Amino acid sequence: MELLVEPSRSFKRRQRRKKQQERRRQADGSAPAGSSDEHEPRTAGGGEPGEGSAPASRRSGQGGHPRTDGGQCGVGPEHAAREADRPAPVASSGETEGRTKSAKRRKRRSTGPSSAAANDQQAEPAATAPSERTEPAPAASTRRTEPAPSTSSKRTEPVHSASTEQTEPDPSASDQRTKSSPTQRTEPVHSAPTERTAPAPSVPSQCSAPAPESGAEPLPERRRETSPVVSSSEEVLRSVRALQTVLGELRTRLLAEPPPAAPSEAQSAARSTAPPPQATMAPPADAAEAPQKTKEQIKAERKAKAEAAKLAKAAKAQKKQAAAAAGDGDGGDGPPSKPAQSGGGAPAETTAKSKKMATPSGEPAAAKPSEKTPTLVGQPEPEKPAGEKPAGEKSKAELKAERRAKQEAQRAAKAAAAASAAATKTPKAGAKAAKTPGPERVTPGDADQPHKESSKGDRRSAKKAAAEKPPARKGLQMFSHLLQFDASSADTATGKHGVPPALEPLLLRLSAGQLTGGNAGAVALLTALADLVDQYVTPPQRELLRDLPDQVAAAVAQLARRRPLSVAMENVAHRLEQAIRHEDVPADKGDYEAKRYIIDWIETFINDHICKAMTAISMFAGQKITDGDVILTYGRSTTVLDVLDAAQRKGCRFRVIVVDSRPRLDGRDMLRQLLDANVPCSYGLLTAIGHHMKEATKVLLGAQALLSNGMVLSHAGTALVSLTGRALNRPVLVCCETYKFSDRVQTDSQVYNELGDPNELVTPDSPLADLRQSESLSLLNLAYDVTPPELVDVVVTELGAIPCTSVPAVLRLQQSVVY
Amino acid sequence: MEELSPTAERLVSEFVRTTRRQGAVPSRQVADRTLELLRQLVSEPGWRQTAQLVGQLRAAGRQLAAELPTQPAVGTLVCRLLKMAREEHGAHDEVHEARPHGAPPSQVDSLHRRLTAGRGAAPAADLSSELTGLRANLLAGLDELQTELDASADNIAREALSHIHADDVVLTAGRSATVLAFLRRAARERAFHVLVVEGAPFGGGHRAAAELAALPRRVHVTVIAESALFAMMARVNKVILGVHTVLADGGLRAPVGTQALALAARFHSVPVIVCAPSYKLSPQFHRGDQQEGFLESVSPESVLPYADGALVGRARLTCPLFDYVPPELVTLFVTHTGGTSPWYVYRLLNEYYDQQDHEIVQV
Repeated sequence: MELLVEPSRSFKRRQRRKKQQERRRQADGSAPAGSSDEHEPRTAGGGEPGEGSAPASRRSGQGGHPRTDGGQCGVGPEHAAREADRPAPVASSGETEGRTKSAKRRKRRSTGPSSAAANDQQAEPAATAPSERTEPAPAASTRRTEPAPSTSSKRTEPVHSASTEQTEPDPSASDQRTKSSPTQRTEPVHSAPTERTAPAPSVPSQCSAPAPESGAEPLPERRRETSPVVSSSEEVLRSVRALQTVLGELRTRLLAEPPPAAPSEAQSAARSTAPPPQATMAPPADAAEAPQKTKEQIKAERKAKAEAAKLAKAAKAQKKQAAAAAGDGDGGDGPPSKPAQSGGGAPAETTAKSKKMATPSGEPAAAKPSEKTPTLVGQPEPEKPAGEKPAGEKSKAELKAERRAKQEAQRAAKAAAAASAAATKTPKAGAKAAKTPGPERVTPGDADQPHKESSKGDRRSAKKAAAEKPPARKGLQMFSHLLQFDASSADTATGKHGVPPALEPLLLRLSAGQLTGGNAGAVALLTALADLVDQYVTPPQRELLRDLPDQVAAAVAQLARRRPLSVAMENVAHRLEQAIRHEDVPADKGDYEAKRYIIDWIETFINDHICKAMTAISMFAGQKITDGDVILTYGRSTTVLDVLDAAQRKGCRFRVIVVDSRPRLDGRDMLRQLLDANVPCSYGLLTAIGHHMKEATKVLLGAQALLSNGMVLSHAGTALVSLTGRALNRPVLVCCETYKFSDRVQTDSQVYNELGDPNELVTPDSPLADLRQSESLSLLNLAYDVTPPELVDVVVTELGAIPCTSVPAVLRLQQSVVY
Repeated sequence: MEELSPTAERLVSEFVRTTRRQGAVPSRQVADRTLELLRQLVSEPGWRQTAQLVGQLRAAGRQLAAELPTQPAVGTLVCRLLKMAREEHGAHDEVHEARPHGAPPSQVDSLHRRLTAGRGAAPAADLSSELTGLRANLLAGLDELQTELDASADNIAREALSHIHADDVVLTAGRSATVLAFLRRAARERAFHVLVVEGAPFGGGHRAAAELAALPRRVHVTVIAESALFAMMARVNKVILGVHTVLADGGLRAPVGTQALALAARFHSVPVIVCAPSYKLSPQFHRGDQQEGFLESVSPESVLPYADGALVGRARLTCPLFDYVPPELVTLFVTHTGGTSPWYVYRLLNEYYDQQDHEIVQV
């Protein structure tokens, strides 16, 4: 997290405050009404406030935008919207993100004009997304505004204006983005209640139609963006933000669509116009997709499709049988789900539910079929708008089953397993998917995975599943228990990751290998989880306090299936769950208040346990650095960077040796940042650690986690550095925030580790380049190692300098304080 | 101090030039070329008495050691030839003098003679006489030495089966021809795993791994980066290393990275086996880090590419070539005569070199 290492944090804070004030002023000036709007949400009930604030913030975004530069406006209004929503100007997650970005941008700009140019260039595709996006909007807006009979005119008005505003062709794409972001953030809060209360007779046909489109559309964009991902993280961040915005907006629109009581003419017209854009939309998506697919992929897909069709047929037959047995005419969707949920309530209610169930989960899932084949997009869709209710429902269920089947089939094909295995699995999966209640099912992909109430169990099962998934590579038998590096899993653009949309950007960043530091990962995860909480809607017959922690756990588990998570990330996720469960979240005041409380908690956590902890550590560790010291450090650690920077600014005269290692070579970043902070530096590779250590007087290291048995889990190579330090009698100091303390124990580096991309080891001129497919050769790229406590002299935490063996004591303290 | 004859001077300086120009070549090549030089020096008609030859050789040895401090083979082979010459002369003397004790001279040299002759080295034998067959004998001795060099890798490899067992996990670093021969020999009969540390930034590990992976099945090769060394050491059964120079105290001048590797091995109690051909055994000592020419450094381009100009200009970069590994981190030396502990290296030294000649390689 670059923000955390920026030397002048206080300066930044000041700047930020200034910016906020400015923005507020602008908002007030450009839209005097906005200020009154701003306060409305606080007094209004749970569902309302978002409505009021959305236009206000939009206005403020418009007003404030032209003065700020293109990059800042991406986050600015969003942040302003947040501010409008919330009475206290606490650093919101969006804000932190923004801080990072602006900080990075500032730095980038200083490094060279070329990178700035690259910025602008790369921002383009991201920015174009919203403008493309606007096409189907008119239909949606007309649909939305016309029928809403149940909602008051006062409420529909702003929505209407918002949508029309969005549909207006806007020359500057960034403007578009800024506008859409507030809607995304605020609308889900209020849109769900509308839906829950509204009678919805003919929803399914309506919602299932746009759902695949929603998935299909942004995908090509994402495709385009994943390629430059590695080149500059902030571009991706920005574009991903935009994407997320777009996705969120779409979902909002889908959810907010008040189901009409009777299909009016205008509506039917709208509906008839709606499919064409989809139809025109889908082929380009496929066209963009096609050249990127290899022949094998296509072949596999075809096979999978055929299989899926078969399976779907079987599922259909089964369901028909089941439906017949139940004798429930309109319960075609999920016979088992209905009695459990509503006890046979009004048909309108059930359909609303089923719709909700379909849309959120369908969104990511829908990406699959639409992205893969044009036929699939075309085939099931036309029949749906035309079909009567039960048939439509059935077809939707069928679609879902098909999707699942396809997913399964593909997986099976990949593993070269028998198709029969997939066949036995899929109907089950389909049935389970139908069974799972909860409209806002954040984890669509986990249907085939036993859903457990306890978060721990969930996490464990996810890990198990993750470990089982790709077969271990030949030769690396001793690491066959770990999540094997799989290039395809890095390709999140396939959309079948099953990670909830709120965590999607995070997954992208993880896949691109951008989040290597412990703090960066933790902050990114917390930010993403704040989004998840923000978008959460309590399902009926469920309590937020019970359901949300599970959702968080499930989402994190899904993420962990794709990418191994660091201990820090697991810790913060767990802490969040615990906080929701045990802190006094004002759930009785409604979703909005509760969610706001939780998001505030997240912000406070980031602030207290990460930011302030780093400051405290830099204070404590700074005391250990004296004039004339030669500090040896390894790789890149934001905490260590903070310490050295603070010591330098304190006026200490010392030198730093940055030791680095292939293949990560992140010490170069460290070196760059230290040199920028005017710290005299040497640089060398881990191979020559003996030489570097001779020069050094102290060793200062970062850590990924401190385990309960005193082991320091850290970036691979750290153990070797501390070992050499110990051998040459140099004091070894490890800097670690206490939130990274884990109750886990580990005695070697093999039981838990992360396997990186083995190809990183191969340099272009290496003779191994041709031998990668060799049977008897394997490449091992370990991410972590554990340093035994006897090699570490002291751990500097925000609580002070303690020995590594004090981890259990600190953990006990944490538990007693927090809960 | 002895002076080099003009012809010898020319030969030596040309050798130095060529060797320097060649840059990094396997030490075996340098050894071969050194033998060639020694052949030329011996066959040069300028010397008549043994003393003259010894003087020439010592002078040459001194100059070579000073100018090529990182080529172990050069100094050691000169010492070998000196020892040969002295022995030839001694044997000749013995035949004529008919020593009272019939014990073999080399054995007596070390203990008995030193005790009886009082302190200090054995009295320098009188080398002033002229020996008739010396030149031919020395040339024959050099040929023998050549044969020994040629066979040394094989001889060391012959020990492989007594060190590597089936399904063993062996770790090696960088590329050493001797180690590769060792592993190849073991692979002929046993299946085992080899972990190869890549040895950044020189990439020797990659070349070694490629060669090992090309072997028919038996060996499974895994390439790891230095960073994974400590983590993987827990799974390693033994470390097999090549060496640049074995020092008189049993320590090593080894490719960079070996020190950390050996430390990690000791931390995990993994035996470190060093394959050392006899010409790498040097009577040199490690006298601290300031010892000139002991730890050579090269251009740090490979550490931080010059393309990264903004950083290169501002940071101090180092790219050393060698590490000193203290003898306590080494478990065993495998030479062509078998295994030797570090603390018995002095025995080998006495066997190969005459004590009087140790000083010429000290730089």
